[in-house]
Amino acid sequence: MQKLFEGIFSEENKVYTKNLLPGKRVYGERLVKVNGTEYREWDAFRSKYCAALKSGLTKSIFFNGATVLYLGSAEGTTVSHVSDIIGEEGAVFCVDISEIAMKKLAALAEERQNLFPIISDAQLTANYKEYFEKKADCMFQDISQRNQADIFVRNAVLLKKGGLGAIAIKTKSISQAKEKLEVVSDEIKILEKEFEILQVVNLEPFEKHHYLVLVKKK
Amino acid sequence: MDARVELRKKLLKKTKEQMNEKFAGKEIHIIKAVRLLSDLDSINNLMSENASEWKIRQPSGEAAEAFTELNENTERIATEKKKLMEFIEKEMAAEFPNFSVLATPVLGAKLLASAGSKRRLCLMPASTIQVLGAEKALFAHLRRKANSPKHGHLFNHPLMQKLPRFKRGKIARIIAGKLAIALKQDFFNGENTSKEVLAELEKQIAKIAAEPVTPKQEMREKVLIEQHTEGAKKEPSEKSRTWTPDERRAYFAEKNKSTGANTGAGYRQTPFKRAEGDTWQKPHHEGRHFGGGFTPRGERSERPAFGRNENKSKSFGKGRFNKPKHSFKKF
Repeated sequence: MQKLFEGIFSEENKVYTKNLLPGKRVYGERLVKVNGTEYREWDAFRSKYCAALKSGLTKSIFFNGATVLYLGSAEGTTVSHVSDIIGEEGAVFCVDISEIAMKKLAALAEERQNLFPIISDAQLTANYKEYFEKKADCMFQDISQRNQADIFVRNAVLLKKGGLGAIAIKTKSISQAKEKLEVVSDEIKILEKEFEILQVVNLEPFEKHHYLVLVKKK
Repeated sequence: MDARVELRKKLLKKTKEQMNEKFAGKEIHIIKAVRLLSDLDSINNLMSENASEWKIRQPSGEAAEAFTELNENTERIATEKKKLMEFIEKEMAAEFPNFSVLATPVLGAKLLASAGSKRRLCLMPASTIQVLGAEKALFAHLRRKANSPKHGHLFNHPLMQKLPRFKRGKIARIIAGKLAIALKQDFFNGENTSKEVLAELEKQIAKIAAEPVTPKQEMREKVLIEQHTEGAKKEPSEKSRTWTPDERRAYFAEKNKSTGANTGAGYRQTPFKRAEGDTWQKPHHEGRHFGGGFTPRGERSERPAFGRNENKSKSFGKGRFNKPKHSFKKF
């Protein structure tokens, strides 16, 4: 097991995280035991952050003990790995609008002590602002809406100064006609209001028409 | 640390409450049932069509076995449909005592499925209820200049049957109005006045149905029937038929003789004269061509300039031929 980033390991071109609850699977992934510690394999085809790690992300935004704002948590595939990375000291605030997707995530949150589920529209930041006594250390967003970048900028109030953020941009939900690079450069212009752009990663071949933008709050 | 645990407990409880609220609504089962019903309808049609065609060929031996199985399954689906109908009738009567009588249970359930939830349907204005189920036609009307739809699901209302085309719009409006009132009564636990309202509605509609047809309505109906029947196609008019280039040239040469204008052997004429020294040209995508053709409003600015602009930097990023060269090297 080689250490890739904090809490993220790799072996033979595969990405792993340390299992917070040994012996338990979340979405049918492979469990590997090395020197007595159990690792969960991270599927790049199901998680955009892992796809970015495999496509050459230079910095990881999550670290041990971090408070994370996670927008668009869906059924908790990526969230479970984030929960592994930040450990028991950290906290992930999972925001999603869909009750059906939240049903699975709520079951996950019962088991994992560092998950905080919130049913809300991610555009309405005021709904969950009260839960943040101190600002979040990092922020991740995976929402396929037309105003993706705008939502991310709106939520920037909850991120501390100098905090890292990552946004997965689905270009097809912004414009069908425009070239994907054109769309991403437009979105980056919106992000530049609040953030400094560190890296842009193309997520092919894991996800088509997707980019992951790594940012730092000004 | 304690505050953290408490916050987590509070959030877990809150999400559970929100989820229960979403899933507890009885109407979701009605919506699922009515969607299944329309699916079963089409399945049943397909199967009975196959069965009746196969019967003509007189199946025997193993074919007969397969045939009887098909028949049994068709029957089973028919009974399932019946049961579903009963379920919908029962549930609708409990949830919407007024509305389900006025709209009939299955049609009411279809309207409910289109609206999405009880709350949304009950707070809808009558005009929206009138065109529920005709979304495609409605948006065609709002976007292009298509005719507005008269009725969506309401077309299947028993009181709408056997009415001529030009009376349907008026009656759809009346029924939608009554339905909207009934929904509000049901939502705010009002009285059950459905029987009286239905009797009144029937009277009102019978009165309208008995009204004599006006000459204008008759003409309009005639035109519509002509448009919709085959073989009623007219010969193309002189102008709309396809012309050969020689014919076109001859036509414009003749026309130009009288006016004295030289329009270049019959190509497209400019309908307005420009002042001298006015070199400004409308860009192509803003309608410099006068041949008609529809440009959707949102896409206008994205139309390619076809490399017309001399100053290319002005249209940076818009034209098809002067695309910017993107690179992310600077990051």
